[in-house]
Amino acid sequence: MPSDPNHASALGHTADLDTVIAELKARIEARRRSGEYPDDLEATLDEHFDRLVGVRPRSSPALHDELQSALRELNQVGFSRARIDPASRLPGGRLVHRTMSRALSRQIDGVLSQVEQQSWLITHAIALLGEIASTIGNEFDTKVLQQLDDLQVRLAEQVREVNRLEYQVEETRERIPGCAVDAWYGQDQFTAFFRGGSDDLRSRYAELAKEFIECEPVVDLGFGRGEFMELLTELGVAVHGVEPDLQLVTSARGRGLDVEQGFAVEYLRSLEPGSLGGIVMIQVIEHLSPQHVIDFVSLAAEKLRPGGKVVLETVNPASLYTYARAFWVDPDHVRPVHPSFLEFLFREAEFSRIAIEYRSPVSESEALLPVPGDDPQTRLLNENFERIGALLFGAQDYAVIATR
Amino acid sequence: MNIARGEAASVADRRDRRAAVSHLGSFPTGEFGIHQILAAASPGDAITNAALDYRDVLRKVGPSEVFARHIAPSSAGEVRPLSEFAASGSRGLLVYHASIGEPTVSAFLLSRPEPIVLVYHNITPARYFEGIDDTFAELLVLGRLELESIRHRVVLAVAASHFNAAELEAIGYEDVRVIPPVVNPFRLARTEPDPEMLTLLDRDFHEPILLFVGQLLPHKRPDLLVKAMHVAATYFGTQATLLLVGQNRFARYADAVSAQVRELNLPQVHVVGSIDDARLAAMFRRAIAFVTVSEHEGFCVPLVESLAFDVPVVARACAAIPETVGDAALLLPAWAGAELVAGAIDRIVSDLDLRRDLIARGRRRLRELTEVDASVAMLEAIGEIV
Repeated sequence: MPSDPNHASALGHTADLDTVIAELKARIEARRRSGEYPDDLEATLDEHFDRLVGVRPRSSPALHDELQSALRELNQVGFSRARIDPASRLPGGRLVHRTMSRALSRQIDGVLSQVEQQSWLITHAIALLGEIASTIGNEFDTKVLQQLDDLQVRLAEQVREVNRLEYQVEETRERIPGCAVDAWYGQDQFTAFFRGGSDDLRSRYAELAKEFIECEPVVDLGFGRGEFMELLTELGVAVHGVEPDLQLVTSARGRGLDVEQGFAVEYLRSLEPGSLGGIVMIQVIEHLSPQHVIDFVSLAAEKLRPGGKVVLETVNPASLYTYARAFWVDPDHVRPVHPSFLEFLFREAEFSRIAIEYRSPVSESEALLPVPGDDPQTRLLNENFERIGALLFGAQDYAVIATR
Repeated sequence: MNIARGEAASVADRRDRRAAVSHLGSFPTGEFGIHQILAAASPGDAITNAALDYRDVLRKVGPSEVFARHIAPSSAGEVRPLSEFAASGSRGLLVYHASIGEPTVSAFLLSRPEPIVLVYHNITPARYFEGIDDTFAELLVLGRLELESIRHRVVLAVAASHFNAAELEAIGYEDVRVIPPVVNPFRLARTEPDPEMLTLLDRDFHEPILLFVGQLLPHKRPDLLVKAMHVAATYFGTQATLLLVGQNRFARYADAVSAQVRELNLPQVHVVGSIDDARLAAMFRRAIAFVTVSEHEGFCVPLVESLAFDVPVVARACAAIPETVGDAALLLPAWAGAELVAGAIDRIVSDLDLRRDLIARGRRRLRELTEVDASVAMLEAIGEIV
């Protein structure tokens, strides 16, 4: 409560109440226009109250109280000859009444006694009916409550079962290789640590990018840090990027690249047939499930126009070195995809030209060294070394360049 | 239409009733009695209180009793049963306070030879009660019909407000006097507030308290107040408590309001019910505003009581409310719905300057209202016709 209510007007701050009302109306109108209130808010509140005030049965405790009070009143009704009013408008009528009353007193008392007895019986019967109704109601209540209790117990059991299943699904999902990991580290940092800086990658893919000249529009599925997109842009090739990692998408967008967040196979499905000129998928196919690998190739065939190209690069599983040094470094890798299988898929999907290019040779310093000498035994030994070397130290990656 | 309030200046200096009565020399003396007739009398009822107040003044000039058809046991000492009205005697006046239909009372009035002074306290339109209490709705319809049926016997019609006067004129009454009801606005304000209620309000109610006082009846629209509280809390983030104080006359309607509060999840709205004056005074002392969105009021006494407590008023400009509060309330248009009322609630809660301004206006309005002594004005009016 303000200490000095006259304060405002004394200072000349008297509010113009019309202005206050006008402000309120404007405020409500602005809120309505901006959609702050749900549609028909007032009408909804009106309907709600109308429903509440509509015909509602009186509560059973209230009815029970009324019945008890009515029974009490019934019990209090007394039957007596004295209560019969002898008043009469006729001259001498009162005397006639009294005389008749005396003359018929035995009969009247008899009738009154019978009525009184009947009234008591009726009151008793009504009270019994009330008891019966109340008992039925109570029994009904007990049964309904019991059923509700049972339902609640069953519901609680089912909730527990659902929780258990949910936990199991989560645990199983985590154990499935290739199920996307939910990493707390940035993909950007991961790529920089294991694959080198952007400049390394740009020089590594400069030649491959040239495959897409005059192949627009090109889509780069899983563009990562966007080096390939930048190379294409520099070549004047329009390219759209799709990447599931939001951080990478935001970063690429910040550098002016045309990108969106999404998944490779899902994205391809959304396109019109024959609408693409080129598909880039660098170090991505090993992240897909076997089903998605298969689907990807058929989708690529469907969405590329004739002459369009797929360029994909992945880890070479034919080089055992990659298992020791590369493939299992990334926890998101599902399984390596063999070049022969991919070649088979592209051939079956009726691509007109399929080239496999082996890339990233293992450094010579890591290869097996030949034994010096030229005698037949040394030559045999070195020949075997070469065979073992080919198996162990084959190229780390391979690229498929398939033309539709 | 004569307007007693317009003559306020001429009666302003006549606050002392004794002086006023002594100036009324035109009253016949002896057996000439001025008796008041009510349909029902109960303690705390505004009409019963007004009748008793008039009686005290009328007794200074002659015999005066209050008779009623239905009398609450605790009013039995002050009010006499209608059946005791003396069958003889035709000198005098009957002052009939009309507020509801009662066939026995209208039959009684029509059977009597005395001229009738009609004091119209307003009869609520029946449509508000249709479907809620059809019997009560019929009594209200009957009440208006009775007003028409006794019109030829009425020598003076008095209305509590211009709004009421207009209703009488609409059914053919002429020359209706407007005399505000007998109200002592300071009676409640000077009542010692209940200390326990003050402690409770201070301890458990941390948000600003808004107060509504009035019976929980459909035409007073407590449901609209509840809707507005919902809108204010949900869409304005207003933090305030609303106390709905007043008799729950129709259980079904009161139950619906309670269910509405519950279903809209408004623990800050309390349906308090009927309470004694000391507790009500405590609530007025702690309230920051009085809010009402009533649609039909013949005068609305709680508004005046609120002014006496320095509690600002927010209301809708319906029925007699604008003429009762004058410019001392934040008056919303009569059509205001839950959204606008919510806006006003939010404003009154948050705008201290506005509340201060309304309090200052309220004090001025209260001075204007107390310049007219209704009992004196009534005596004067009666004096003119006897």
